[in-house]
Amino acid sequence: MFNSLKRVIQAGYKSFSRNIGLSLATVFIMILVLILLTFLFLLRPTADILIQGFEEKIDISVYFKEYVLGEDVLSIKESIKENPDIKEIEYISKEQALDAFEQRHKDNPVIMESLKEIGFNPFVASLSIKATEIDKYEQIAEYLEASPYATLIDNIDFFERRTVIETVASLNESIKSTLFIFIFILGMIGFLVGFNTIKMGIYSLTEEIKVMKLVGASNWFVRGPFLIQGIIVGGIAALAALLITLLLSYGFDTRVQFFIPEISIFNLFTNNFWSIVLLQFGAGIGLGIFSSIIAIRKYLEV
Amino acid sequence: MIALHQVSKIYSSRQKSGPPTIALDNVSFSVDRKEFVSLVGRSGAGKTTLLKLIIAEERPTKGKIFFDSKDISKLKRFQIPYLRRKVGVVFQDYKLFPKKTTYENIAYVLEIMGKKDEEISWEVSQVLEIVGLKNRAYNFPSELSGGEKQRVAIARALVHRPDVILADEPTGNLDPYNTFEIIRLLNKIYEMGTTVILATHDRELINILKKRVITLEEGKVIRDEQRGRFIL
Repeated sequence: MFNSLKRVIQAGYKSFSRNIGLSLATVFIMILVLILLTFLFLLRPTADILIQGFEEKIDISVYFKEYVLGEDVLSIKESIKENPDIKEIEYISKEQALDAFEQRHKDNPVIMESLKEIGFNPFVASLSIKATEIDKYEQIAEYLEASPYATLIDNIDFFERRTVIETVASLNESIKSTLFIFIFILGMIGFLVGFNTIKMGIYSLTEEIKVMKLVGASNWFVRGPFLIQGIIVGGIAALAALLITLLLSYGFDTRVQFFIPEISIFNLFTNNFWSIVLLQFGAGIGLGIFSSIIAIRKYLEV
Repeated sequence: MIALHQVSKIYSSRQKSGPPTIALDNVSFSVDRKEFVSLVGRSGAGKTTLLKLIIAEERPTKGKIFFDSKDISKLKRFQIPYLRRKVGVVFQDYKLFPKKTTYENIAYVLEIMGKKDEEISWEVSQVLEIVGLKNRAYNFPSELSGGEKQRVAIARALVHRPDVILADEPTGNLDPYNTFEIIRLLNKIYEMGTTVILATHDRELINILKKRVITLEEGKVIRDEQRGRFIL
Protein backbone atom coordinates (compact mmCIF):
# COMPACT_ATOMS: atom_id res chain seq x y z
CA MET A 1 0.00 0.00 0.00
CA PHE A 2 2.73 2.42 1.12
CA ASN A 3 4.89 1.21 -1.78
CA SER A 4 2.11 1.92 -4.28
CA LEU A 5 1.46 5.36 -2.80
CA LYS A 6 5.16 6.20 -2.99
CA ARG A 7 5.25 5.08 -6.64
CA VAL A 8 2.13 7.03 -7.56
CA ILE A 9 3.64 10.19 -6.03
CA GLN A 10 6.97 9.61 -7.80
CA ALA A 11 5.21 8.94 -11.10
CA GLY A 12 3.11 12.10 -10.69
CA TYR A 13 6.19 14.21 -10.01
CA LYS A 14 8.14 12.66 -12.91
CA SER A 15 5.22 13.16 -15.27
CA PHE A 16 5.03 16.82 -14.18
CA SER A 17 8.74 17.44 -14.67
CA ARG A 18 9.12 15.47 -17.92
CA ASN A 19 6.15 17.22 -19.51
CA ILE A 20 7.44 20.54 -18.21
CA GLY A 21 6.23 22.62 -21.19
CA LEU A 22 2.67 21.41 -20.86
CA SER A 23 2.86 21.54 -17.04
CA LEU A 24 4.01 25.17 -17.03
CA ALA A 25 1.33 26.16 -19.55
CA THR A 26 -1.27 24.59 -17.26
CA VAL A 27 0.22 26.33 -14.21
CA PHE A 28 0.13 29.65 -16.07
CA ILE A 29 -3.56 29.27 -17.00
CA MET A 30 -4.36 28.19 -13.45
CA ILE A 31 -2.60 31.29 -12.06
CA LEU A 32 -4.83 33.48 -14.25
CA VAL A 33 -7.92 31.59 -13.13
CA LEU A 34 -6.96 31.94 -9.45
CA ILE A 35 -6.21 35.67 -9.80
CA LEU A 36 -9.63 36.07 -11.41
CA LEU A 37 -11.28 34.13 -8.57
CA THR A 38 -9.45 36.22 -5.96
CA PHE A 39 -10.56 39.41 -7.70
CA LEU A 40 -14.15 38.14 -7.69
CA PHE A 41 -13.82 37.14 -4.04
CA LEU A 42 -12.70 40.67 -3.09
CA LEU A 43 -15.36 42.31 -5.22
CA ARG A 44 -18.09 41.42 -2.73
CA PRO A 45 -16.58 43.18 0.34
CA THR A 46 -15.57 46.11 -1.91
CA ALA A 47 -19.15 46.52 -3.06
CA ASP A 48 -20.34 46.16 0.53
CA ILE A 49 -18.08 49.05 1.58
CA LEU A 50 -19.40 51.20 -1.27
CA ILE A 51 -23.02 50.33 -0.49
CA GLN A 52 -22.41 50.99 3.19
CA GLY A 53 -21.00 54.39 2.17
CA PHE A 54 -24.27 55.24 0.37
CA GLU A 55 -26.35 54.01 3.28
CA GLU A 56 -24.28 55.95 5.82
CA LYS A 57 -25.31 59.18 4.12
CA ILE A 58 -29.00 58.45 4.65
CA ASP A 59 -30.91 59.36 7.83
CA ILE A 60 -34.30 60.68 8.80
CA SER A 61 -35.09 63.60 11.09
CA VAL A 62 -37.92 63.81 13.57
CA TYR A 63 -38.95 67.43 14.24
CA PHE A 64 -40.76 68.24 17.46
CA LYS A 65 -43.36 70.89 18.05
CA GLU A 66 -42.25 74.38 18.97
CA TYR A 67 -43.23 74.06 22.63
CA VAL A 68 -41.43 70.73 23.30
CA LEU A 69 -38.49 71.31 25.58
CA GLY A 70 -34.97 70.10 24.91
CA GLU A 71 -34.93 67.82 27.98
CA ASP A 72 -38.21 66.20 26.85
CA VAL A 73 -36.67 65.44 23.45
CA LEU A 74 -33.64 63.96 25.22
CA SER A 75 -35.82 61.71 27.33
CA ILE A 76 -37.76 60.63 24.18
CA LYS A 77 -34.38 59.89 22.61
CA GLU A 78 -33.44 57.66 25.56
CA SER A 79 -36.68 55.73 25.37
CA ILE A 80 -36.76 55.15 21.58
CA LYS A 81 -33.10 54.19 21.24
CA GLU A 82 -34.09 50.75 22.60
CA ASN A 83 -35.77 50.07 19.24
CA PRO A 84 -33.65 47.33 17.56
CA ASP A 85 -34.08 48.89 14.11
CA ILE A 86 -32.32 52.07 15.19
CA LYS A 87 -28.56 52.08 14.80
CA GLU A 88 -27.75 55.62 15.79
CA ILE A 89 -29.75 58.52 17.17
CA GLU A 90 -28.54 62.07 17.57
CA TYR A 91 -30.24 64.98 19.38
CA ILE A 92 -30.05 68.32 17.59
CA SER A 93 -31.11 71.25 19.72
CA LYS A 94 -32.74 74.42 18.39
CA GLU A 95 -29.37 76.21 18.75
CA GLN A 96 -27.42 73.50 16.95
CA ALA A 97 -29.94 73.56 14.11
CA LEU A 98 -29.56 77.35 13.83
CA ASP A 99 -25.75 77.11 13.90
CA ALA A 100 -25.76 74.46 11.23
CA PHE A 101 -28.09 76.55 9.06
CA GLU A 102 -25.95 79.66 9.47
CA GLN A 103 -22.82 77.71 8.71
CA ARG A 104 -24.39 76.28 5.59
CA HIS A 105 -25.66 79.60 4.25
CA LYS A 106 -23.06 82.04 5.53
CA ASP A 107 -22.12 83.00 1.97
CA ASN A 108 -25.70 83.76 0.98
CA PRO A 109 -26.46 87.34 2.20
CA VAL A 110 -30.16 87.15 1.22
CA ILE A 111 -30.83 84.15 3.46
CA MET A 112 -28.71 85.55 6.30
CA GLU A 113 -30.57 88.88 6.02
CA SER A 114 -33.97 87.13 6.09
CA LEU A 115 -32.95 85.21 9.19
CA LYS A 116 -32.00 88.46 10.89
CA GLU A 117 -35.38 89.97 9.85
CA ILE A 118 -37.28 87.16 11.60
CA GLY A 119 -35.60 88.14 14.83
CA PHE A 120 -35.87 84.78 16.64
CA ASN A 121 -34.62 81.22 16.25
CA PRO A 122 -37.21 79.61 13.95
CA PHE A 123 -35.72 76.13 14.22
CA VAL A 124 -37.11 73.34 16.38
CA ALA A 125 -35.34 70.53 18.26
CA SER A 126 -35.04 67.32 16.35
CA LEU A 127 -33.69 63.79 16.45
CA SER A 128 -31.56 62.52 13.57
CA ILE A 129 -31.99 58.76 13.20
CA LYS A 130 -29.95 56.19 11.29
CA ALA A 131 -31.50 52.76 10.84
CA THR A 132 -29.63 49.45 11.02
CA GLU A 133 -30.76 48.72 7.46
CA ILE A 134 -32.07 50.94 4.73
CA ASP A 135 -35.45 49.22 4.53
CA LYS A 136 -36.12 49.83 8.26
CA TYR A 137 -36.83 53.56 7.93
CA GLU A 138 -40.47 53.06 7.14
CA GLN A 139 -40.97 50.85 10.20
CA ILE A 140 -39.19 53.41 12.39
CA ALA A 141 -41.42 56.22 11.08
CA GLU A 142 -44.53 54.12 11.68
CA TYR A 143 -43.30 53.19 15.15
CA LEU A 144 -42.81 56.86 16.04
CA GLU A 145 -46.22 57.84 14.70
CA ALA A 146 -47.87 55.15 16.77
CA SER A 147 -45.83 55.96 19.91
CA PRO A 148 -47.11 57.98 22.89
CA TYR A 149 -44.85 60.84 21.71
CA ALA A 150 -46.72 61.19 18.41
CA THR A 151 -48.59 64.27 19.67
CA LEU A 152 -45.26 65.99 20.37
CA ILE A 153 -43.92 65.28 16.90
CA ASP A 154 -44.39 67.97 14.31
CA ASN A 155 -42.95 66.16 11.30
CA ILE A 156 -40.94 63.07 10.30
CA ASP A 157 -39.10 63.79 7.06
CA PHE A 158 -39.14 60.12 6.03
CA PHE A 159 -42.30 60.80 4.06
CA GLU A 160 -40.60 63.56 2.04
CA ARG A 161 -37.41 61.56 1.62
CA ARG A 162 -39.13 58.27 0.94
CA THR A 163 -38.41 58.30 -2.83
CA VAL A 164 -34.70 58.97 -2.31
CA ILE A 165 -34.41 56.28 0.36
CA GLU A 166 -36.26 53.73 -1.75
CA THR A 167 -34.17 54.59 -4.82
CA VAL A 168 -30.94 54.05 -2.87
CA ALA A 169 -32.32 50.80 -1.45
CA SER A 170 -33.30 49.43 -4.85
CA LEU A 171 -30.01 50.60 -6.35
CA ASN A 172 -28.14 48.70 -3.64
CA GLU A 173 -30.23 45.61 -4.31
CA SER A 174 -29.55 45.77 -8.04
CA ILE A 175 -25.82 46.30 -7.40
CA LYS A 176 -25.85 43.18 -5.20
CA SER A 177 -27.75 41.00 -7.67
CA THR A 178 -25.79 42.21 -10.71
CA LEU A 179 -22.59 41.54 -8.81
CA PHE A 180 -23.78 38.05 -7.93
CA ILE A 181 -24.50 37.24 -11.59
CA PHE A 182 -21.18 38.80 -12.63
CA ILE A 183 -19.25 36.77 -10.03
CA PHE A 184 -21.14 33.60 -10.96
CA ILE A 185 -20.54 33.95 -14.72
CA LEU A 186 -16.86 34.91 -14.42
CA GLY A 187 -16.37 32.21 -11.78
CA MET A 188 -17.86 29.62 -14.14
CA ILE A 189 -15.67 30.86 -17.01
CA GLY A 190 -12.62 30.59 -14.76
CA PHE A 191 -13.63 27.11 -13.69
CA LEU A 192 -14.22 25.95 -17.28
CA VAL A 193 -10.92 27.39 -18.50
CA GLY A 194 -9.03 25.61 -15.70
CA PHE A 195 -10.98 22.39 -16.23
CA ASN A 196 -10.41 22.36 -19.99
CA THR A 197 -6.70 23.12 -19.69
CA ILE A 198 -6.21 20.07 -17.50
CA LYS A 199 -8.54 18.03 -19.70
CA MET A 200 -6.49 18.90 -22.81
CA GLY A 201 -3.30 17.85 -21.01
CA ILE A 202 -4.83 14.48 -20.16
CA TYR A 203 -6.32 14.12 -23.64
CA SER A 204 -2.82 14.25 -25.12
CA LEU A 205 -1.96 11.20 -23.02
CA THR A 206 -4.99 9.09 -24.02
CA GLU A 207 -2.87 6.46 -25.76
CA GLU A 208 -0.56 6.09 -22.76
CA ILE A 209 -3.50 5.69 -20.40
CA LYS A 210 -4.85 2.93 -22.63
CA VAL A 211 -1.50 1.11 -22.59
CA MET A 212 -1.30 1.41 -18.80
CA LYS A 213 -4.67 -0.33 -18.60
CA LEU A 214 -3.65 -2.99 -21.14
CA VAL A 215 -0.54 -3.98 -19.20
CA GLY A 216 -2.66 -4.54 -16.10
CA ALA A 217 -2.73 -1.27 -14.15
CA SER A 218 -5.72 -0.76 -11.89
CA ASN A 219 -7.80 2.39 -12.31
CA TRP A 220 -6.29 3.97 -9.20
CA PHE A 221 -2.75 3.25 -10.32
CA VAL A 222 -3.47 5.07 -13.59
CA ARG A 223 -5.43 7.89 -11.98
CA GLY A 224 -3.02 8.44 -9.07
CA PRO A 225 -0.15 10.18 -10.92
CA PHE A 226 -2.63 12.51 -12.65
CA LEU A 227 -4.09 13.47 -9.29
CA ILE A 228 -0.60 14.15 -7.93
CA GLN A 229 0.12 16.25 -11.01
CA GLY A 230 -3.15 18.12 -10.43
CA ILE A 231 -2.09 18.79 -6.84
CA ILE A 232 1.38 20.00 -7.92
CA VAL A 233 -0.08 22.26 -10.65
CA GLY A 234 -2.78 23.61 -8.30
CA GLY A 235 -0.31 24.13 -5.44
CA ILE A 236 2.29 25.99 -7.52
CA ALA A 237 -0.41 28.08 -9.21
CA ALA A 238 -1.96 28.96 -5.83
CA LEU A 239 1.40 29.99 -4.39
CA ALA A 240 2.19 32.15 -7.42
CA ALA A 241 -1.32 33.63 -7.49
CA LEU A 242 -1.09 34.47 -3.76
CA LEU A 243 2.19 36.29 -4.28
CA ILE A 244 0.97 38.13 -7.38
CA THR A 245 -2.35 39.23 -5.84
CA LEU A 246 -0.55 40.34 -2.66
CA LEU A 247 1.89 42.46 -4.68
CA LEU A 248 -0.89 43.83 -6.89
CA SER A 249 -3.03 44.83 -3.92
CA TYR A 250 -0.01 46.52 -2.30
CA GLY A 251 1.09 48.24 -5.51
CA PHE A 252 -2.32 49.53 -6.51
CA ASP A 253 -3.52 50.41 -3.00
CA THR A 254 -2.81 54.16 -3.14
CA ARG A 255 -3.97 54.44 -6.75
CA VAL A 256 -7.33 52.84 -5.94
CA GLN A 257 -7.66 54.99 -2.82
CA PHE A 258 -7.13 58.08 -4.95
CA PHE A 259 -10.36 57.27 -6.83
CA ILE A 260 -12.32 55.59 -4.03
CA PRO A 261 -11.01 56.84 -0.66
CA GLU A 262 -13.16 54.38 1.34
CA ILE A 263 -11.39 51.39 -0.15
CA SER A 264 -7.94 50.08 0.67
CA ILE A 265 -7.48 46.93 -1.37
CA PHE A 266 -4.32 46.04 0.58
CA ASN A 267 -6.27 46.20 3.87
CA LEU A 268 -9.07 44.25 2.26
CA PHE A 269 -6.49 41.65 1.21
CA THR A 270 -4.78 41.41 4.59
CA ASN A 271 -8.11 41.34 6.46
CA ASN A 272 -9.23 38.41 4.31
CA PHE A 273 -5.74 36.86 4.02
CA TRP A 274 -6.53 33.37 5.34
CA SER A 275 -9.79 33.19 3.41
CA ILE A 276 -7.86 34.10 0.26
CA VAL A 277 -5.17 31.49 1.02
CA LEU A 278 -7.92 28.93 1.51
CA LEU A 279 -9.70 30.03 -1.66
CA GLN A 280 -6.57 29.94 -3.82
CA PHE A 281 -5.18 26.64 -2.54
CA GLY A 282 -8.64 25.08 -2.28
CA ALA A 283 -9.65 26.19 -5.77
CA GLY A 284 -6.23 25.42 -7.29
CA ILE A 285 -5.78 21.95 -5.84
CA GLY A 286 -9.51 21.17 -5.91
CA LEU A 287 -9.79 22.12 -9.56
CA GLY A 288 -6.65 20.09 -10.34
CA ILE A 289 -8.01 16.96 -8.66
CA PHE A 290 -11.59 17.38 -9.85
CA SER A 291 -10.61 18.04 -13.48
CA SER A 292 -8.20 15.09 -13.52
CA ILE A 293 -10.80 12.68 -12.14
CA ILE A 294 -13.49 13.80 -14.57
CA ALA A 295 -11.22 14.07 -17.61
CA ILE A 296 -9.59 10.68 -17.13
CA ARG A 297 -12.83 8.81 -16.43
CA LYS A 298 -13.73 7.86 -19.98
CA TYR A 299 -10.20 6.79 -20.90
CA LEU A 300 -10.16 4.23 -18.10
CA GLU A 301 -12.85 2.13 -19.71
CA VAL A 302 -10.36 -0.15 -21.50
CA MET B 1 -4.87 -22.95 -20.70
CA ILE B 2 -6.81 -20.75 -23.15
CA ALA B 3 -9.95 -22.07 -24.75
CA LEU B 4 -12.43 -20.42 -27.07
CA HIS B 5 -15.87 -21.99 -27.46
CA GLN B 6 -17.92 -20.84 -30.44
CA VAL B 7 -16.80 -17.25 -30.07
CA SER B 8 -18.26 -14.59 -32.32
CA LYS B 9 -17.56 -10.90 -32.33
CA ILE B 10 -19.87 -8.66 -34.28
CA TYR B 11 -19.42 -4.89 -34.49
CA SER B 12 -22.59 -3.03 -35.25
CA SER B 13 -22.31 -0.32 -37.86
CA ARG B 14 -22.01 3.28 -36.72
CA GLN B 15 -24.66 4.17 -39.26
CA LYS B 16 -28.02 2.81 -38.17
CA SER B 17 -28.84 1.29 -41.55
CA GLY B 18 -25.31 -0.06 -42.21
CA PRO B 19 -24.61 -3.80 -42.06
CA PRO B 20 -22.77 -5.16 -38.97
CA THR B 21 -19.14 -6.28 -39.30
CA ILE B 22 -18.47 -9.88 -38.36
CA ALA B 23 -14.92 -9.88 -36.98
CA LEU B 24 -15.05 -13.44 -35.61
CA ASP B 25 -17.54 -16.10 -36.56
CA ASN B 26 -18.02 -19.14 -34.33
CA VAL B 27 -14.34 -19.60 -33.51
CA SER B 28 -13.31 -22.53 -31.32
CA PHE B 29 -9.82 -23.73 -30.41
CA SER B 30 -7.66 -24.17 -27.36
CA VAL B 31 -4.04 -23.44 -26.53
CA ASP B 32 -2.12 -25.55 -24.00
CA ARG B 33 0.59 -24.45 -21.64
CA LYS B 34 4.09 -24.12 -23.16
CA GLU B 35 2.72 -24.05 -26.68
CA PHE B 36 3.80 -21.76 -29.51
CA VAL B 37 0.83 -20.93 -31.70
CA SER B 38 0.79 -18.68 -34.73
CA LEU B 39 -2.42 -17.03 -35.83
CA VAL B 40 -2.23 -16.22 -39.49
CA GLY B 41 -4.51 -14.57 -41.96
CA ARG B 42 -4.91 -11.54 -44.12
CA SER B 43 -5.44 -8.11 -42.65
CA GLY B 44 -8.96 -7.96 -41.29
CA ALA B 45 -9.17 -11.75 -40.80
CA GLY B 46 -9.81 -11.29 -37.08
CA LYS B 47 -6.35 -11.92 -35.55
CA THR B 48 -6.17 -8.69 -33.54
CA THR B 49 -9.81 -9.00 -32.42
CA LEU B 50 -9.02 -12.46 -31.12
CA LEU B 51 -6.09 -11.18 -29.06
CA LYS B 52 -8.21 -8.30 -27.76
CA LEU B 53 -10.79 -10.81 -26.56
CA ILE B 54 -8.14 -12.79 -24.68
CA ILE B 55 -7.03 -9.71 -22.69
CA ALA B 56 -10.66 -8.61 -22.20
CA GLU B 57 -10.13 -5.40 -24.15
CA GLU B 58 -13.24 -6.48 -26.01
CA ARG B 59 -16.10 -8.73 -24.96
CA PRO B 60 -17.38 -11.50 -27.26
CA THR B 61 -20.83 -11.06 -28.77
CA LYS B 62 -21.40 -14.81 -28.44
CA GLY B 63 -19.51 -17.76 -26.98
CA LYS B 64 -17.13 -18.26 -24.08
CA ILE B 65 -13.42 -17.67 -23.54
CA PHE B 66 -11.66 -19.56 -20.78
CA PHE B 67 -8.33 -18.62 -19.25
CA ASP B 68 -7.18 -21.22 -16.75
CA SER B 69 -10.76 -22.59 -16.73
CA LYS B 70 -12.20 -19.18 -15.83
CA ASP B 71 -14.72 -17.60 -18.21
CA ILE B 72 -13.13 -14.21 -18.88
CA SER B 73 -16.16 -12.89 -20.74
CA LYS B 74 -17.87 -12.80 -17.34
CA LEU B 75 -15.09 -10.97 -15.50
CA LYS B 76 -16.09 -7.86 -13.57
CA ARG B 77 -14.32 -4.63 -14.49
CA PHE B 78 -12.12 -4.60 -11.37
CA GLN B 79 -10.99 -8.21 -12.07
CA ILE B 80 -9.65 -7.43 -15.55
CA PRO B 81 -6.27 -5.98 -14.41
CA TYR B 82 -5.52 -9.26 -12.61
CA LEU B 83 -6.15 -11.22 -15.82
CA ARG B 84 -3.90 -8.86 -17.79
CA ARG B 85 -1.08 -9.37 -15.28
CA LYS B 86 -1.02 -13.04 -16.29
CA VAL B 87 -0.51 -12.01 -19.91
CA GLY B 88 2.27 -10.11 -21.67
CA VAL B 89 1.30 -8.21 -24.81
CA VAL B 90 3.61 -7.08 -27.60
CA PHE B 91 2.09 -4.65 -30.09
CA GLN B 92 3.09 -3.90 -33.67
CA ASP B 93 3.55 -0.21 -32.82
CA TYR B 94 5.38 -1.05 -29.53
CA LYS B 95 3.13 1.17 -27.37
CA LEU B 96 5.97 2.21 -25.07
CA PHE B 97 5.53 5.13 -22.66
CA PRO B 98 7.39 7.95 -24.43
CA LYS B 99 8.26 9.85 -21.23
CA LYS B 100 9.64 6.80 -19.42
CA THR B 101 13.11 5.35 -19.90
CA THR B 102 13.65 1.76 -21.05
CA TYR B 103 14.13 0.73 -17.42
CA GLU B 104 10.96 2.54 -16.29
CA ASN B 105 8.89 1.15 -19.17
CA ILE B 106 9.79 -2.38 -18.14
CA ALA B 107 9.60 -1.72 -14.40
CA TYR B 108 6.07 -0.28 -14.72
CA VAL B 109 4.48 -3.73 -14.97
CA LEU B 110 6.23 -4.85 -11.79
CA GLU B 111 5.30 -1.60 -10.03
CA ILE B 112 1.60 -2.11 -10.67
CA MET B 113 1.97 -5.58 -9.19
CA GLY B 114 3.40 -4.00 -6.04
CA LYS B 115 6.88 -5.61 -6.21
CA LYS B 116 9.68 -4.22 -4.06
CA ASP B 117 12.31 -1.90 -5.55
CA GLU B 118 15.17 -4.42 -5.16
CA GLU B 119 13.11 -7.13 -6.81
CA ILE B 120 12.20 -4.79 -9.67
CA SER B 121 15.81 -3.81 -10.17
CA TRP B 122 16.90 -7.48 -10.32
CA GLU B 123 14.08 -8.60 -12.63
CA VAL B 124 14.52 -5.68 -15.03
CA SER B 125 18.27 -6.20 -15.32
CA GLN B 126 17.67 -9.90 -16.01
CA VAL B 127 15.20 -9.24 -18.74
CA LEU B 128 17.34 -6.48 -20.26
CA GLU B 129 20.11 -9.07 -20.47
CA ILE B 130 17.78 -11.47 -22.30
CA VAL B 131 16.74 -8.87 -24.90
CA GLY B 132 20.28 -7.50 -25.15
CA LEU B 133 19.51 -3.93 -24.13
CA LYS B 134 21.50 -3.51 -20.90
CA ASN B 135 23.30 -0.50 -22.33
CA ARG B 136 19.99 1.18 -23.26
CA ALA B 137 18.39 1.06 -19.80
CA TYR B 138 18.30 4.83 -19.33
CA ASN B 139 17.41 5.86 -22.86
CA PHE B 140 13.96 7.14 -23.75
CA PRO B 141 12.01 5.41 -26.56
CA SER B 142 12.68 8.34 -28.92
CA GLU B 143 16.40 7.50 -28.64
CA LEU B 144 15.93 3.86 -29.70
CA SER B 145 15.67 2.21 -33.13
CA GLY B 146 12.55 0.31 -34.18
CA GLY B 147 14.13 -3.06 -33.39
CA GLU B 148 15.28 -1.83 -29.98
CA LYS B 149 11.84 -0.46 -29.19
CA GLN B 150 10.27 -3.80 -30.00
CA ARG B 151 12.81 -5.56 -27.79
CA VAL B 152 11.87 -3.20 -24.95
CA ALA B 153 8.23 -4.05 -25.59
CA ILE B 154 9.08 -7.77 -25.41
CA ALA B 155 11.04 -7.17 -22.20
CA ARG B 156 8.02 -5.38 -20.73
CA ALA B 157 5.75 -8.23 -21.76
CA LEU B 158 8.12 -10.76 -20.26
CA VAL B 159 9.38 -9.20 -17.05
CA HIS B 160 6.57 -10.32 -14.78
CA ARG B 161 6.87 -13.91 -16.02
CA PRO B 162 3.37 -14.11 -17.50
CA ASP B 163 1.65 -17.39 -18.34
CA VAL B 164 1.30 -16.34 -21.93
CA ILE B 165 2.72 -13.77 -24.33
CA LEU B 166 0.48 -12.37 -27.03
CA ALA B 167 2.39 -10.79 -29.89
CA ASP B 168 0.28 -8.85 -32.37
CA GLU B 169 2.24 -8.40 -35.62
CA PRO B 170 5.41 -7.66 -33.60
CA THR B 171 7.55 -7.53 -36.71
CA GLY B 172 5.18 -5.50 -38.85
CA ASN B 173 7.29 -2.35 -38.64
CA LEU B 174 10.73 -3.99 -38.72
CA ASP B 175 13.38 -4.78 -41.33
CA PRO B 176 14.28 -8.46 -42.04
CA TYR B 177 17.27 -8.47 -39.68
CA ASN B 178 15.23 -7.16 -36.73
CA THR B 179 12.29 -9.39 -37.69
CA PHE B 180 14.40 -12.50 -37.23
CA GLU B 181 15.92 -11.10 -34.08
CA ILE B 182 12.43 -10.66 -32.56
CA ILE B 183 11.29 -14.12 -33.66
CA ARG B 184 14.47 -15.63 -32.21
CA LEU B 185 13.63 -13.86 -28.94
CA LEU B 186 10.02 -15.11 -28.92
CA ASN B 187 11.27 -18.62 -29.62
CA LYS B 188 13.73 -18.32 -26.74
CA ILE B 189 10.91 -17.19 -24.43
CA TYR B 190 8.87 -20.20 -25.58
CA GLU B 191 11.79 -22.53 -24.91
CA MET B 192 12.06 -21.07 -21.40
CA GLY B 193 8.51 -22.36 -20.82
CA THR B 194 6.13 -19.53 -21.66
CA THR B 195 3.15 -19.95 -23.97
CA VAL B 196 3.41 -17.69 -27.01
CA ILE B 197 0.58 -16.69 -29.33
CA LEU B 198 1.91 -14.85 -32.36
CA ALA B 199 -0.40 -13.09 -34.78
CA THR B 200 1.21 -12.35 -38.12
CA HIS B 201 0.74 -12.30 -41.85
CA ASP B 202 4.44 -12.86 -42.56
CA ARG B 203 4.53 -16.04 -44.67
CA GLU B 204 8.32 -16.56 -44.45
CA LEU B 205 8.31 -16.31 -40.70
CA ILE B 206 5.64 -18.98 -40.25
CA ASN B 207 7.35 -21.37 -42.60
CA ILE B 208 10.62 -21.04 -40.67
CA LEU B 209 8.99 -21.54 -37.24
CA LYS B 210 7.46 -24.94 -38.06
CA LYS B 211 5.05 -24.72 -35.14
CA ARG B 212 1.28 -24.89 -34.72
CA VAL B 213 -0.53 -22.56 -37.11
CA ILE B 214 -4.18 -21.51 -36.90
CA THR B 215 -5.35 -19.87 -40.10
CA LEU B 216 -8.19 -17.36 -40.00
CA GLU B 217 -10.19 -16.14 -42.95
CA GLU B 218 -13.06 -13.69 -42.70
CA GLY B 219 -13.39 -14.36 -38.99
CA LYS B 220 -13.45 -18.15 -39.27
CA VAL B 221 -10.82 -20.77 -38.46
CA ILE B 222 -10.18 -22.49 -41.74
CA ARG B 223 -7.12 -24.54 -40.73
CA ASP B 224 -5.41 -25.63 -37.51
CA GLU B 225 -2.21 -27.66 -38.05
CA GLN B 226 0.42 -28.79 -35.56
CA ARG B 227 3.41 -28.16 -37.86
CA GLY B 228 1.69 -25.76 -40.13
CA ARG B 229 2.67 -23.63 -43.05
CA PHE B 230 1.31 -20.35 -44.32
CA ILE B 231 -1.21 -21.35 -46.97
CA LEU B 232 -3.80 -18.85 -48.13
